[in-house]
Amino acid sequence: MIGCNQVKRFIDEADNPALLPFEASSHLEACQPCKQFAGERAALRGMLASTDRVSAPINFDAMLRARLADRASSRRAAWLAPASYVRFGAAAAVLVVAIMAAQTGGLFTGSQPEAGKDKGDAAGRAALMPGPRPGGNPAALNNQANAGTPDGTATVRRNRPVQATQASYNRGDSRSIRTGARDLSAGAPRGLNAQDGAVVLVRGKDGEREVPMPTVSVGAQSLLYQTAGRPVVSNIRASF
Amino acid sequence: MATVTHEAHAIGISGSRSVETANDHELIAAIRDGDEAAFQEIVRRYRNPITNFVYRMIDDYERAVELSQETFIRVYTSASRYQANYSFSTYIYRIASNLAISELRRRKRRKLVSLFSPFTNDEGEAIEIDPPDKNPLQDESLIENERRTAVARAIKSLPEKYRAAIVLRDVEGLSYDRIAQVLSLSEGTVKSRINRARNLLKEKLSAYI
Repeated sequence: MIGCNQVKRFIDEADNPALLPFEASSHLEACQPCKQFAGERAALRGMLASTDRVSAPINFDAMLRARLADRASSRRAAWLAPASYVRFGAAAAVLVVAIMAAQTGGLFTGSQPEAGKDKGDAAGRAALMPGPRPGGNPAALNNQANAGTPDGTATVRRNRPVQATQASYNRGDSRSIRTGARDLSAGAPRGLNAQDGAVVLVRGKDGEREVPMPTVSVGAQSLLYQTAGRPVVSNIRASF
Repeated sequence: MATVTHEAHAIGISGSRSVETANDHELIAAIRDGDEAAFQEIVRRYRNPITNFVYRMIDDYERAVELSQETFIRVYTSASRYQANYSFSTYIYRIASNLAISELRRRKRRKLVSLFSPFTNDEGEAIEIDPPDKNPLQDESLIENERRTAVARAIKSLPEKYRAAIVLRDVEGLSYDRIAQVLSLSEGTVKSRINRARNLLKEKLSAYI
């Protein structure tokens, strides 16, 4: 004996609401809700089937022929259209200009600017230079710092005690970043202080080195890399 | 495809036999061979059902005519790619259905406002001004007009996935398996959507049932 849900499914899926399986027809005779459902479904389907049907307009064929002819002729002429050449040429010109601008801006190379050519970075490079020690000879120190650096960028001396001022260390200044155990109180100050930026401890096979990192300005990234075994800090010229 | 072409040549559809008695597959094969008369026959057979179907989907007669023409253009230009795996009517209804559904989605994105509704109500919604027709109408025709309008409005209010299924089934009279092919759905999904659409329509048209 089938249930109401199954009968309703038969009613819904039948191609002709009046033609149902024998079991469904028998159920309908005894079940008033299903009988009402069948009547509502038949009325609804009849209403939908008798909705006004629209026809294509009289000139449908003519319009269609015209559109087909239009499309065929536009396809043939597409390659010859001057607009296509102009568009292609404009797109190629824009691409060339964009590549040249990117190369000029140094986006592809990411190389550091040559010494003396980028005055804007002078302040940044100066921040890397060890400042005068109390009681020391600034010129001598600068010469020392610049030894072996023909391009003018600062280098880090090996095993050189770094002064991150005791005050800034005590207050946990984030600009004085220490990654290794160092004796801050020992050693003569080397000229760099917390205002110059952070200090990074680099451990290598030759020992530990402390690398001062300049203050990172908005849009510029400092890069630490090795050249011929010497860690070098520089500012990348282009900003992101 | 080779079988269809062979049939077309064997029958000689482009020559002695009338296109009116050829079946849809034979006509498509003739179209592929460049027979314009075969294409005209296809258009003659399907222009009204396709226009009516698209109109029921998008409720815009002029646009429905454009889309039905686009349907036939696609049939013509892709005749070489047609495969006789299923009936041609399924194929053409599928093209028309895709175009109609794309049109509905495009309208939904653009949120078209009627150009004939420059007036807005207190909520700022566009309203259509429909001047009353002063010609007297008989009661029966008035009721019939109301019913037809209500049915059209109810179909239009259905979500597009239910609308396509119910129009193909109860307006165009396609079978469940053909509707499944047209809409690229399983038969079970088609039946489910039609059932849901009928339930929604019953609520909207309860005054007339």
